[in-house]
Amino acid sequence: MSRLPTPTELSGEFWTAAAEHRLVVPRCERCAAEFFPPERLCPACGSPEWGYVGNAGAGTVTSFTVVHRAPSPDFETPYVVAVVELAGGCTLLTNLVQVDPADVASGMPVEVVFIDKPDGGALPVFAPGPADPSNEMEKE
Amino acid sequence: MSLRDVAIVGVHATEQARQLPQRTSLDLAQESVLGAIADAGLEPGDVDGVAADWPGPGGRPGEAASWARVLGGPLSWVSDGLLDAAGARGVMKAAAAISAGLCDVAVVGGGLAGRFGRGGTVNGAADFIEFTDVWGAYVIPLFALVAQGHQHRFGTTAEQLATVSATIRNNGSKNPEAVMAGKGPYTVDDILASPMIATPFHLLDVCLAGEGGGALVLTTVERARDLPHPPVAVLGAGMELSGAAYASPPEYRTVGRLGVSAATRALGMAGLTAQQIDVFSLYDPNSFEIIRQMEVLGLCAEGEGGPFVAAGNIGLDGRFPTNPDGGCLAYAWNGTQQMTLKVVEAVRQLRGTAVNQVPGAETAIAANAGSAASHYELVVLGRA
Repeated sequence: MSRLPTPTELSGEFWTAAAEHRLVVPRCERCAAEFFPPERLCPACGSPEWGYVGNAGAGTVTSFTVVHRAPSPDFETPYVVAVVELAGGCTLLTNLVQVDPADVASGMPVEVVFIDKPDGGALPVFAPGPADPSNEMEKE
Repeated sequence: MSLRDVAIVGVHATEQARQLPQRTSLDLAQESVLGAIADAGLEPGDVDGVAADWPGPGGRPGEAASWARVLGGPLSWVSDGLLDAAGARGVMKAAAAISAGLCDVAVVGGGLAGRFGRGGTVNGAADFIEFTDVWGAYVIPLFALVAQGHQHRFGTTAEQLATVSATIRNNGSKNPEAVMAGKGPYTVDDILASPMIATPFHLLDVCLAGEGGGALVLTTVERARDLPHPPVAVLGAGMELSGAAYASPPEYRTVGRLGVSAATRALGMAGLTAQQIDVFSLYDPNSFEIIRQMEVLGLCAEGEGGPFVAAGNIGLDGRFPTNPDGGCLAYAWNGTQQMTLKVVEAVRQLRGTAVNQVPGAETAIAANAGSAASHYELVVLGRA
């Protein structure tokens, strides 16, 4: 797997939290929008006042691709690149793990897991999560 | 004056190849710029506006004013920045400058060679992007996310994607200037049999990175009447950008319709509908982008792009011939100046001198894009 990026003044807290296996996302203090990736001004209202808040890491796959040709030998193919929409509304690019790529589908529920890096830090990725309770009800 | 009072009067494309180890970016750019000026029947000293990339060495890399010493005189207008020095965006800005009276003759273009140029390897990726690269997402998977969204929403099939690749690659097969000249012909099954890169894209669904250059010369339609080639007027133009390229995860739901407002503006300015355009020179980094643009331009309804291309509409003998030169898929992708090559092909079609000539073509659209790259620029061109 890849090395982690050098944090910026916007992303330091994200990577510090990830190292502790916590997922945090920017939340605007003015309009309460949660957004990702971090940027200087809230993309919903333009406010510079925002801070990271914890996110339980439950989400839904909205788009995905199974990559068979990696950009570098750091990645073992095939691997899944996906966009996950978190409860709270923001989306992030990520990898899906602990799942056969053939079984990945748009709409599948996932939850965050963390991959520890040998040099320190951890990368948030997602694995199949518990189904939405309302769906469980339907099955019964 | 308005944009339609400005014409493209000179074009030049250098050799295009996967690698041009004997060339430098600067010598490709100089060949392009001087070649386009010569094609226009003009002298370097006639040019007083420059939106051409200066790769260096010498001068100051990235600063278009560096061309003043090559062209032999002070410049009246320059436009800096890689994306401004190419393609549809370069054309519309230069045409705007000419129509505003800021300069009289402008050149747009540049070149890229990896080995000796500043660019190093040309893989199409931007600089490191923090929340993209770490998950192994590069340009092809990012475009694949958008394509997957379209498939999920509308049932677009791998065979429909492959139809685009086979059609455009078979055009390029017949273009002696194409990097993939003589390769093929390809069937849909050939495309589907090529190795998977990132679902839904097979190897032959995506374009090949290479090197080369190209340039364009523009002046007023009035002045163009005295020049050797039939002038090609800028009938309309538009651009649309939704954010910095690749900084946010691209998805069909966010960028799938990128280009609709640009196309509406450009076609409205031209007083034409997409159905009235004779030939299309569209960005094709992969098969899906063509399907998406059929919908964005209004040639078919959203979601119907797959069946639309499968029905043969984009073939040389179809209703809407697309990328007769072989496009990025088979002719050339060379970094930024592939954008210029889209305009070069449109101009050649309207002059009647293209390799795979669409008979009687009078109007064309040249477009640069990338839904995943969050930008869309197009110009509507026509015989003046």
